[in-house]
Amino acid sequence: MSAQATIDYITATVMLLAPDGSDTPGPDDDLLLCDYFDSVFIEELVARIQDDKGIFIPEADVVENHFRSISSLGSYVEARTA
Amino acid sequence: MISQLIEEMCRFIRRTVRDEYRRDFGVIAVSGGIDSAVTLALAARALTPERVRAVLMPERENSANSTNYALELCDGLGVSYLIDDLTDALVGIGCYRRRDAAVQDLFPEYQAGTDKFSIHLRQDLLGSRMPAQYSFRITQPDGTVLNRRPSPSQFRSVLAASNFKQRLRTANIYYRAEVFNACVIGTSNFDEEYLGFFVKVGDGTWDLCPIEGLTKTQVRQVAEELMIPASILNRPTTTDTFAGDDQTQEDMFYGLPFDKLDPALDGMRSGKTNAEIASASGITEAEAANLRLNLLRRHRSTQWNRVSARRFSSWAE
Repeated sequence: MSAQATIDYITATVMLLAPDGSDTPGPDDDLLLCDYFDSVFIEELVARIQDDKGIFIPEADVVENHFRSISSLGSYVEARTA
Repeated sequence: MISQLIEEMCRFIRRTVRDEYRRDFGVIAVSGGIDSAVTLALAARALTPERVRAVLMPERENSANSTNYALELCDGLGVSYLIDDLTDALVGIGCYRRRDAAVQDLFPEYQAGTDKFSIHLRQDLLGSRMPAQYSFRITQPDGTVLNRRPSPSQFRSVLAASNFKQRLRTANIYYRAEVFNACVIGTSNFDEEYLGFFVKVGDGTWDLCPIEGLTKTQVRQVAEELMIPASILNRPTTTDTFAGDDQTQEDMFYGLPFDKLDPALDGMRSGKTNAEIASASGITEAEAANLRLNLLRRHRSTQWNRVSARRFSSWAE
């Protein structure tokens, strides 16, 4: 999967979990400032990515550096699936 | 200043119970913790002890100390009390069974009745902007501790089953309130209300609540002024929700000691800057910025708990 395809996948996954009517975040937008980015959302997002990508995301990796934007999360997922 | 605040809260109780709702009594669910102790003492002062009833609602997973502290408090204030043990009702509605099944979904080795279960929060409120993440923990009789991250559905299942405790307490206290022609006086403080640490149609449901505007630190100041027994005043703020539960509220939910959290909450509601909050809480300005965002996020993400039902009203137009 190309880097762009990963970013498109993460964007679509975020939008599937976000409330109806939410703006689509750009690749470098600050996800942590989104209203819906709370404990439940992040658990759902981690669970969805683990299922879809067949990877395990350990607790220690659920940190701001990886989740602050679509592109940072894309880079992390790419590294885990490589 | 504290004594003036106490007088204002007492006037609020008298005005609401007698004049607005026209009820004869106030009833209060007394847990043995500091919030219900302060509320009971305020109500006894406002309405006279004869016009207040304390309702103790233990169940099999509470600490025995909780009931003892509550009884000591009622005796000291001269308030009559009733003890309604909710264990049978909780068994009947499946609270323990459903919760244990959800725990076993994550920990197949979990032995209900002998292993201790608890929920723990992982969030660096000061150093990161990441939302809280929860982990489940079981402690086996030999001291083995297992921590695992629940799936969203496992987390919701455990919480929903455990929340039967608060919801049955509310059903029961409204039964008592109707019998006594009483108002239910709530015991929620500002930390709980703002951050959503209460159960909808559970401990978040009442007719009036005198301490809802007080942070935990302010509740403690009022408790000292009201001479609440030291056993309650000095007790760690445990959740007392799970068997053998010795976790503090800071560990399960707040993620920060009250001496740092409360100046920040107080600063946010009074329009203080991050620099002012940092100074009051003894943290850096960058930490105050993270803390503000994390607290605001918790407030917004628990909005469902707080709002009343929405009604579609176009028929009336």
